[in-house]
Amino acid sequence: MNAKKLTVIPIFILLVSSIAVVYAMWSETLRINVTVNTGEVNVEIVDAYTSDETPPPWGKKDKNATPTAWPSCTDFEYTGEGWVAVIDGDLEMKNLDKDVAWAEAWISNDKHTAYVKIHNGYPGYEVTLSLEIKNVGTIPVFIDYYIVNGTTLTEEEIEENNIVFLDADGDCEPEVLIQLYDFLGEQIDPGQGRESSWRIVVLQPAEENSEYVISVRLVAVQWNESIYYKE
Amino acid sequence: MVPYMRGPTYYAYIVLTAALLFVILSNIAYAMWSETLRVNMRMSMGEFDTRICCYKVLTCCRHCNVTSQLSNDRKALFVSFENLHPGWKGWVVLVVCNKGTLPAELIGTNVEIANTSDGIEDHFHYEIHYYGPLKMKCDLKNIKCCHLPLPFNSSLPIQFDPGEKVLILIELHIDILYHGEGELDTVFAIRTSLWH
Repeated sequence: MNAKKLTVIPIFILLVSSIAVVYAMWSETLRINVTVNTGEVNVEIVDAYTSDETPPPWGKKDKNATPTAWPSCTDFEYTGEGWVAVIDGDLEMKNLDKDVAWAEAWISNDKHTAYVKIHNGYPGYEVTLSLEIKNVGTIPVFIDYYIVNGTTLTEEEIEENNIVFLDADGDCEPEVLIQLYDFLGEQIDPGQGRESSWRIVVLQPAEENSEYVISVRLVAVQWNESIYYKE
Repeated sequence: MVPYMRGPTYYAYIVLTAALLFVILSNIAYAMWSETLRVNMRMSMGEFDTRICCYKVLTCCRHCNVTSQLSNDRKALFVSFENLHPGWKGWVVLVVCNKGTLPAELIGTNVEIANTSDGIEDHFHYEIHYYGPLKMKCDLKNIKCCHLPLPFNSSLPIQFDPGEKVLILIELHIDILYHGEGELDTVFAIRTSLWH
C-alpha cells in the first residue's frame, strides 16, 4: 500500500468527526410514567349451612315438601349434565314426626365452592340451604346467572319459574328439585354481601340407595358489563 | 402505462387482516372480568327394606301336613295345608323386620287362597293380630298354639324404625260345617310403605 492511499484514511476520520461536532446538540427527555393498577373482581362464599345439620337422633324433626306443579316431558332439556325442567310452582310443606335424614354444608378453602351433602334421603325430604356471599374484591359486581346442571337462568326466568326439576336418567320423572331464590340483579359493592336460601326436595321417583348430584354455578360479573347494568 | 395488477393472494391477505382486526377489536370491546362460585350438592338416598325375617306355622293337629316357603323378596309366605278337618285350628306367625335405614309402616297383611279342594274355602276363616313395634330377637322356637293369641295387640298402621320388628299372628280355622278332609294353599303377604 503506498503512502498516498494511507493518507486517505486519517482524512476520512477527520471529516466524519467534524460532521459529528456540527450535529452535536444538547437535549433532555421528560418522561411521564403512567402506572395503571387494576382492581379485582373477587366474590367469595363466606357461609353455607343447612336447616338440618345434626344427624339423628339428636337433630330436628324432618320436613317434607310436595311441589304444586309437575313438569311434562316437553319441559325437559338435556344439558350434558342431565335433564332439566324449569317451571312455575310452589312447595307445600309438612312437618314430620321423625328425624331420619340430614344435610351438611361446607366451604372449600378458596371459598369459591360450597358443598352440600344430604344423607339418608327419601322421597319428600326437604332441606333449606342458606348461602352467604360477599364481594371481597375492589369492583362492584352483579351475579348475572345461575347455571343449574348446565341450564343458565337469569333473574327474569327465576321470577317467572323458580322450581328447577332434575331428572338424572331421562325418563321424564325427576328425582330432585331445587327452588331458587334471588341473588340475581342486585349490585353488590365491595365489602357488601348477600344472603339467599334455596330449598332442595327429594321427589317420589328417587330410587333407594342411589346418589343424585346438583351443580349450581353463580356467575359474578363486573357491574358495568352485567346484563342488569343500567346506565 | 400498464396498471399494476394485484393477484388473488393480495386480496386474500387483505380479507384475512380485516377479519383478524375485527376479532381482536371485538375481544377488547367485550372483555369483562367475571368469577364463578360453585355449589355442589350430593344427595344420598336411604334404603327401604322391610321383610319377613322369621316365621313359624303352627297347626294344632298331629296328622295335618304343612309345607311353607318364603318368596324371593321375603314379603310373602306360601303355606300349603293338607288333611284339614272340621274344627281345625292353626296359626301363622310372621316377624316383619325393618332392615333398611328409613322408618317403615306396616299397612296390613293380605291373606289369599291360591288353591283349595272341594269348597273348603267357604269354611276357612282367619283373624289377624298385630304387635309392635318391638325390639325382639327372631326366635320363635318356644312359641306354641296354647300361648296364642298374646295380649296387648296393636292397631294398624304400625310404624317401625330401622332395627325394629312387628309381630303378626294369623289365627286360622275351619268351621265345623265343613265335611271331610281338605287341602288349602295360601299366601300371606305383608304390605308396608315409608312411614310418612
